[in-house]
Amino acid sequence: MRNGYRYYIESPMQKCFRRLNTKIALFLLLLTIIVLSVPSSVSAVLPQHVYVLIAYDEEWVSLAEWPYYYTPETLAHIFFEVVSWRFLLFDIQFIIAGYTSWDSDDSISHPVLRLNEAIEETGFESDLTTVNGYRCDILVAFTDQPIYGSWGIANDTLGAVLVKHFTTFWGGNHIDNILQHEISHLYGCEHHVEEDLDCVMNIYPAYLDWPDWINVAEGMLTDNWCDICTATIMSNRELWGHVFRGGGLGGGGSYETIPEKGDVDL
Amino acid sequence: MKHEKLVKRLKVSAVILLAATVLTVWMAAASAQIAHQALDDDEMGDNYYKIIWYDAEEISKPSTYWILEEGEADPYIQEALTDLGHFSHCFANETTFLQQVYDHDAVWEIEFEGCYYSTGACYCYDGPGLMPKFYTIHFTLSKQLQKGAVASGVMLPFAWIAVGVVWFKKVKQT
Repeated sequence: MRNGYRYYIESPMQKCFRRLNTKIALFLLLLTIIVLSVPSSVSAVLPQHVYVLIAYDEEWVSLAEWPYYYTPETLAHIFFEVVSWRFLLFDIQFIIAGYTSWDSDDSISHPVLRLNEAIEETGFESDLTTVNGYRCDILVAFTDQPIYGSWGIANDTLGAVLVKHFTTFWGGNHIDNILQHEISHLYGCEHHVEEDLDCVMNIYPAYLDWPDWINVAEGMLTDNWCDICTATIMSNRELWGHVFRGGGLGGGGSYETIPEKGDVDL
Repeated sequence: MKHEKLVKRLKVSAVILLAATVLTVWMAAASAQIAHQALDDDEMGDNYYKIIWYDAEEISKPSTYWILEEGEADPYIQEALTDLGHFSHCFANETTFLQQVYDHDAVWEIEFEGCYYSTGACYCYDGPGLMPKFYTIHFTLSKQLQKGAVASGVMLPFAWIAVGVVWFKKVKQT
């Protein structure tokens, strides 16, 4: 106590903390401003939105009616969503833009011709075909018509895949594995031929005993990707679709390339 | 009483006849399917190549067999015998494996260094963007199917004869 005033002597340590607190507060304030103003730039990987046109033929319609008791759209939707979830691993988000049907020619059995038929009849052109106001990036065609020599086929130039419904006693429904395999082709994955390699791209034969008595590719019995395929898809994840800049805290998001709204083509 | 016996016999004959017919149709259909698979080999285009997958498993001594030392064996057969239970593969134009097994179709089991093996094969096409479908060529199954078809083909006339006899007796009695 001196001259009626009480003095508080601040130690050097206390002084240091006081200054540091001020600095931390200023830093946090600055960080909050940045996050609120540019929300998407904080995210490490931006989601890739891929718009999908789903097509099905008359055999698929019959299959949906029996034994599934669904509409063809619902059945296709179920299988597609199962696979779609698996690609979220790569921040690839498939969005169904719409459904259409095509009339498959029973006299065709070659997989390439069958896929070409689906592409021609649906009039699909990647990034040009507009359905429900969205430009479609890839075509996924479902069929129950036999395809010679394959259960599915992909055209990685045109962005189109065709999958055949197939079930076994031991493996259950394989169409999700086939679809995952074919979409992986669109992202540059290639076949592996290796026993016991847990990868959907593995075509090493696996024998399913009674009552199936059939060889299937090992890739039809798994929904995993090996390290090579995971890296391939990750590096090619922007091949199809548009980078979506999410709204975050700041509100509505935007696309790097905005899908144009337009009339329904199909 | 006699009438009841006759009806019973007729029923038995009908069942035999039905069973034989079903068996014949099934065997014929299965054999045709295998033949159809073999005939469709060239349907795929040039961008797709055919791969033969083959395997072997050790078995007990069969009644008939092919001694491997008797002829110059495809190296792929020997590879299958030394890597039992695993599928080995090669391109279709690289092997005479299938041809050699076909050539020895009566003795598709193989004797090699004192052990006996059964061989099997399947094939598929590989190419751009394809999820391959495997076509199984199982020689033992194929052979059994042929035998079955022959057996049921023999049984069928006998079944008809049985029915004829019963019907003839019935007519004679009345």
